[in-house]
Amino acid sequence: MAEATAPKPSSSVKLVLLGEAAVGKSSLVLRFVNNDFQENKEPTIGAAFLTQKCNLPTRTIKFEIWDTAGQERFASLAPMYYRNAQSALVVYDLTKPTSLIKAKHWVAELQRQASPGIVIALVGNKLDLTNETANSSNSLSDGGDGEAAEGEDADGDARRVSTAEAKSYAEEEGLLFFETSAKLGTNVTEVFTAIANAIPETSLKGTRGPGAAQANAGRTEDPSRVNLTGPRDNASKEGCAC
Amino acid sequence: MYENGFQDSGVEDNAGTRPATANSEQRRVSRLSEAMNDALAPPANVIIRDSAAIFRNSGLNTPSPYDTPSSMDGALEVHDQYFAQKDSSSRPVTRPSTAPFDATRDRYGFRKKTQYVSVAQYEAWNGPYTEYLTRRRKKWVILLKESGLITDRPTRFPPKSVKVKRFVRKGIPPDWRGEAWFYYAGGPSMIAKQPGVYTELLRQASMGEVTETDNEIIERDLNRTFPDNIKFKPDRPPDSGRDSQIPEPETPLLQSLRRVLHAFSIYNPKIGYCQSLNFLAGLLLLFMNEEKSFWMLNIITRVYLPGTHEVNLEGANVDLGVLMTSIKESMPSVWTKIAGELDGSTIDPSKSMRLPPITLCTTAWFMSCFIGTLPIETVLRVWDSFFYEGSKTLFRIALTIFKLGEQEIKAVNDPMEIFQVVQTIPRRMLDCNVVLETCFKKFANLSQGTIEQRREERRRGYADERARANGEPVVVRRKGTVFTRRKERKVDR
Repeated sequence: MAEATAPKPSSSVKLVLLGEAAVGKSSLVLRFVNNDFQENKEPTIGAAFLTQKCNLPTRTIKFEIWDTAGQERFASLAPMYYRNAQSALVVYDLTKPTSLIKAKHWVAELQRQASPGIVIALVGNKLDLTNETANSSNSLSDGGDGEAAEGEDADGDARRVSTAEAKSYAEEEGLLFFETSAKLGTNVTEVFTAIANAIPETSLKGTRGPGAAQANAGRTEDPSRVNLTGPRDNASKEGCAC
Repeated sequence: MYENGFQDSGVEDNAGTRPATANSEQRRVSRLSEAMNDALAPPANVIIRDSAAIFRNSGLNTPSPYDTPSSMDGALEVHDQYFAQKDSSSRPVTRPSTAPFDATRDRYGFRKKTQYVSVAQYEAWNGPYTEYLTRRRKKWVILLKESGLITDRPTRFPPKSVKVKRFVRKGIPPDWRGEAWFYYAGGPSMIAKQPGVYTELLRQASMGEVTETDNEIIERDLNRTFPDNIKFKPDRPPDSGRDSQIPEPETPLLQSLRRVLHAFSIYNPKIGYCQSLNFLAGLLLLFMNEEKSFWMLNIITRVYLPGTHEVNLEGANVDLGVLMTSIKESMPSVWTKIAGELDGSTIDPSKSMRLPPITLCTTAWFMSCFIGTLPIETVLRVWDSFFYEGSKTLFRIALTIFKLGEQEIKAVNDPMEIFQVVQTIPRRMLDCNVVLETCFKKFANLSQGTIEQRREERRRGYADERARANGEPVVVRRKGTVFTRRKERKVDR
C-alpha cells in the first residue's frame, strides 16, 4: 500500500555497529533484519554483514550493516568499517556502566576519525532487564556473578545507567539516543528509522534506484545532525519495512 | 559414491614418499615443544628452552597444596568446583556415535535445523551419509587391526602414510575422532612432557589468577557457546514455562569449558582470552576430555595458527593476507570481484599490507577454524585433515569455498552484495564430501611450505610497518637472511 505508482528514490546507507562485547549488537541487527531474537546469541568473530530496507515516506533506504566483534582486540579492524560509513550505532548495555564508558570512547573515535557528516546513534540496550516495560523481566540473561546481579534492586530492576545520564551525554555530543530491547523489540525499528531520517539527503551517494535525481533535487534538509530527543519521539515512528 | 572420490594429486607434499617425513615430523614436534615452552616463561618475551627451568621459574613443580585439600577452608569450595571433574578428565566426556538425542538433534547434540539448512535438507543428506560413515568405520577397523591396534576406544593410531592420510581425508569415525586428532596433532608427547601442568593451572585459576578482563568476557561467552548443542544448553523441561525466571543450571561441559579457558588464559599471557577460543575449546570438549582439550587448544593457537589469537591479531591478518594472495593467484576472476575497497579502488596484496574489506567476512574462518561458518559435520571433516596435515588445510578449504561459490560470486554486480554472498556460501555446504573432494582435487598443490613462506613475508611486512610507525631505522631483527631478502624485495619494487 505504501508503494506508490512511481517508484520511490532508493539509496543505500552504510551503517556500522560498535560497542563492548555482549551488549547486544548482533541481537539488535537480528531483530531489525529478521524480527527475531535468539537467547544467548553467539559472539561475533570478526564481523558480519547484513542488509535491510527501510521505507520512508519519500524514499527507500537500504541499510548496509557491518556488525562488529565487541572484544577489545578486534577494535583495530574498526576503521575498515567506519571509514566509509554514513551512520553508526554505538551500543551499550544499560545494566553495565562500563559499557557506556566504552561507548563514549567509540563516539570520540568516530568524531575524530570517521566521515565528518556521520550520523551517530547512542543506544542503551537490554531495556527488558529493567522493570520499566510492560513485559519486564528480572532474569539476567548473563547469569553469573556480574556486578549487575550483585547490585540488583529488590524490585528486580537491573538498570545501572540512568536514562537522564545517557541522554544528556547524547545531547551534548549531538547524537541520536534510544533505549531499546532487542529481546522484546522495543524501539529497534525506531532507531534505524531515526537514523534514516537523519541522514542528510545531500549526503546520499551511490543512489542506485530509479528516481535518484529527484532524491537529490528533493527537499532540502538541515545537513547538521538531527537530534531526536527520545525513544518516543514521533518523528521516529515512520515505519521501516521490516 | 565417494569411496574413490579423493584422489591425491600427488603434486604437493608427496614429492618424496610420505606426507610427513621423519624430518618434517621432528621439526613439527620441536616447534611444538618450543611453542609450549614459550608459554611458561614468566616474562612473555624470554624464551626458555629447557622445560625443567620453566617449571622452576614458574613454580609449577612445587607440590600442590591441593594434594591435601582438606586443609583448606575458604578457597576450598571454589577449588572443589574446579576439581569436581578431575576423574572424568581422564576419560572422554562423550561418545558421540552412541549418544541418544531426540530427532531434532544430530549425532553430536546440535540442532539439525539452522538458519541456512532445513531439517528436510539435513535428512536428505544425512541418510546416505550415515551409510557412508558405517562403511568408512568398517575400513578404519580393518586399518587399525592391520596395524595391530585396538579398536575399542582407540587412543593410538597408525603412523602417518599416504594411505592413512587418504583415510583421514575421507573422515575419521565420529567416536574415535577426538583421540585421533589428539594423536596426530602431537598431543601425547605434549602431555607427557608437561605432566600436571593443567592441574596446576586450574589451581592457579581457583586462586584468582585469571585476569579480571579475561574472566569477565569468558563468563559472558560461556552461555553463548553452542547454545544449539544439548550438552551446552539442555532443552528446558516442559513445565518450566517459556519465561522461567530460574536460572538454568550449568552443564558439566560448560563448567569444563570455563576451566579450559581459564587455564589457557593463564598459560598464554600473550593471548589471554580471545573470542573464538570458546568455540574451539567447546568443540574439542565434545570429543575429548578437558586436559586434552586444553593441550589441543594450545597446539591450535601456537603451532597451527601462530599469533592469530594474540592481542593484536597479527597472525590472523597474516593468514588473511596469505589467503588473498592465494585467491588472486588461483582464481583471478573471483579475485576481481572480492578485491574491491569500499570506495571502489583495489589493493594488490603482494604489494600492500592492507587487506581488502572482504577479509572482514573471512576473519572468523581462521580464528574459529570454520566453526559457525561451515555446517558442523563439514567442520569436523575439515578438522580431521587439519590436525593430520596442518594449517594448509584451512587455506585449502577457504579456497574451496570460493571455488564452489565461483558462479555465484561472478554473478554479483552490487559491490556490497559480495559480502553477503561470501558470508552465506559456506553456511550451506552441508555435503562435506563434496567440499573435501573439491578441496583435495583443486588445491592440493598449495603446500605448507608455500604457506609458511608467504606467512613469513607478511610478518616481515608488519614488522617493517611497525618499525616505520615508531620512526625506527631499518634494523636487522632476525638472521642475516631476512635482511638480504628484504633487500631483494626492494629491488622488486
